[in-house]
Amino acid sequence: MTRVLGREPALYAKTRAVPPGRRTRWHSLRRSRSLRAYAFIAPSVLIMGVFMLWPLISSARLSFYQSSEFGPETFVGLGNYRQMFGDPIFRGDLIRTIVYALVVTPTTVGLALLFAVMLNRRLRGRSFFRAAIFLPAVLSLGVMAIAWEYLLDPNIGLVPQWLAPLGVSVGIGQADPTIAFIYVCIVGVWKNVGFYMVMYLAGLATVPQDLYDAARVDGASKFRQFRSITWPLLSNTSAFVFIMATIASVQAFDQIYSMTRGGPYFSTETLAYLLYRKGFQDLDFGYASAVAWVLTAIVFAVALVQQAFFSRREVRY
Amino acid sequence: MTRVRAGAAAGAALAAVLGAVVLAGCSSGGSGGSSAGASSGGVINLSFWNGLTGPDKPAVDHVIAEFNASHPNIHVTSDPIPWDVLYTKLLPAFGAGKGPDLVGISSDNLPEYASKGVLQPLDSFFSLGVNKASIVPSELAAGEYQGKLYGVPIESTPVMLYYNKTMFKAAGIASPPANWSQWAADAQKLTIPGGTDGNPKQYGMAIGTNNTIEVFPILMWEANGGIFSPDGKQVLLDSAGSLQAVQYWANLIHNDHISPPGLSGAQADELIQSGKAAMEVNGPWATTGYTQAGIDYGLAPVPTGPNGEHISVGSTTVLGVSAADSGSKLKAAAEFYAYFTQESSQVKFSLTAGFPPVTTNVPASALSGNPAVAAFAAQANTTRALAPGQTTFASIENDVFDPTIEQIISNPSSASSLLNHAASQVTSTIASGD
Repeated sequence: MTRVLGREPALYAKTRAVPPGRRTRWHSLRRSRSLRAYAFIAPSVLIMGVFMLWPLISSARLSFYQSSEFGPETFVGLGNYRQMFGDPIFRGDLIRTIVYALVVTPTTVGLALLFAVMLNRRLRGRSFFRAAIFLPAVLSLGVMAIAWEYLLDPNIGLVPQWLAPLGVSVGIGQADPTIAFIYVCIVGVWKNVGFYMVMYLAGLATVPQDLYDAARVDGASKFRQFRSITWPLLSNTSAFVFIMATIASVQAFDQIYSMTRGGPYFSTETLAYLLYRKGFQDLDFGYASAVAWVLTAIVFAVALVQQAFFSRREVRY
Repeated sequence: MTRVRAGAAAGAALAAVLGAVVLAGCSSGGSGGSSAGASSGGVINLSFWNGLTGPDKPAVDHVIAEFNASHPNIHVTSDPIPWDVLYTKLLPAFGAGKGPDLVGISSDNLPEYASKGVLQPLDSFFSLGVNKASIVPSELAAGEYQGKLYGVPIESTPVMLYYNKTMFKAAGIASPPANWSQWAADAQKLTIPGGTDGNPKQYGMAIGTNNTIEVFPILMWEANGGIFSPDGKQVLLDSAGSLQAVQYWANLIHNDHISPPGLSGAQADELIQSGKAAMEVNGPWATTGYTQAGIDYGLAPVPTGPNGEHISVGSTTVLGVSAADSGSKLKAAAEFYAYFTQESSQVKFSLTAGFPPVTTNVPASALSGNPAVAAFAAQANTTRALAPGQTTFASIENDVFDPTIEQIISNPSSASSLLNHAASQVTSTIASGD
């Protein structure tokens, strides 16, 4: 048997009988390595524990109480959840959140993919376009939504003035529930499309160029190349982008707070905004926590489904 | 065996760390209240949280600076916070024992804080140097809750009709409207079509319906309706007078487009300032902004309605004292308020901020430098509180009243059913308390 560094190789360690109670240098090394590894991740675990795990648990506990964070709290069991599912505003918000996610997620991801494919070629000013599309992702949505509100105002805004000669009318603008919802969706897409575009650009860079060359030689059209080469090989990136986009869209809040405050008459209110309104305006933290957990459950369910869908299509190298 | 034990030991250590973190967090936070800002070296420090971030901020700062200079043993520190943030912060701060000594809040929101016991009654102010007779009685009444005085007025804000004199002249209207029919006719005349997307390029009025000084309640009061009866005990949203007023004006907005629908208060102000609307019901704080925007505005009392009464909505900003404050701090607060209500302070405050004085001891001649102040001061007797004694006022306004009005404006024929629904919602909100 060959000996490595004077010791038996670890491969055979399992078959060797180790005398009980005798610690070899090998096992001490393994243990100190494990401890070192845990020590390295301990800061992250600590931060996640304090800022993510404890709030989750605390919020779950709070959802069974009636609490205004002022004075004593009363235990109400499932009362908050029952009140929630019986509240027509909650049901409306749930539907609106789902509709928003169904509209914004495919639009954002589709546009991101489109822009990535378009900006993957050599183009003049390619860097400028990439930066311009990416910029909203790093700016504060709350602030930008205020700018959007001014731009979209039907009376003093620039966008309706530009759109009018094109035949696109926004009528009374944000005071119209449908238009307000469309506005909120547009700003939501605009904010994140650059971020996912960058993800896709990175994914596109991993696709080997010789596959395209071979396809071109075989006479495949651009669209066929995309369908058979690009899209399947991007499935890892797509999985990641879709899940992130869904989670982000289900949690939509910033532009709704800045632009419409959930109005007109709750027609742009999502679950995240309801959470804020009930918790921080009406100071009903128990109810807000219940809403938060319903939102968490939705995100979890969606993420599970998407994970199942994409894991079958995972590309392994 | 030892390999497994090493992994298990490290895993157990990790779990212990996490568990300790969770347990530490779960232990009761926020111990019992202790009054913030203890006195140090004989100087009594009073923290003052308020929402006065507008043009009135310099006036408030000025009075406080003068007070601090002339009273070396008391130091008041003003902390102006935007209203919505202030109302989100106050209760949790009091609950954690970190509330301020003095608060400056709207009298409409006062009942909520008084009912939760975070403010103390101020009836003793009048034996500590404050002259009760010098304060405008209706404003003093605004700070009462269940028979005790929890807030003393520091700003009184009746509203009036602002009108754009230039636009009035261009439309050939000689004087501001005095009643509803004139008001509607003027608004229709001043609404000029021809803007983008079929919207008018000039609106007769800018009526805010959310996050604003409430205009619709005034219109409802003028028809013997309202949200609440004057004693706050009855819900009048579904009364005939309320229905008449809401339908009349919702039709004007929806059919004649005299105002854009769904405006927030800030958006309404912007329309006036950009010269796109001719009239607005607003308070004294708007004078500075309109002057700066170059609007030649005039002030008129809110036109009378079917019952012929002059009514204005009056929200008073009141000064409250934390229940956690000791006797010496209460005395210091009384000294501050006495200083604030003396004639010289009131004159300076009014002229700088553009608000009418809260006291009766200021002669009209002293205010001649700011004619807007005199106009608003004359409205003091016509003011009514939006929701007298209601502890759930904020929730009623944001969650029920404003959305209902906006929905009715988008579909005026639904007024009756929506008002009935709103009335039952308000009734159940009051019943459940908060």
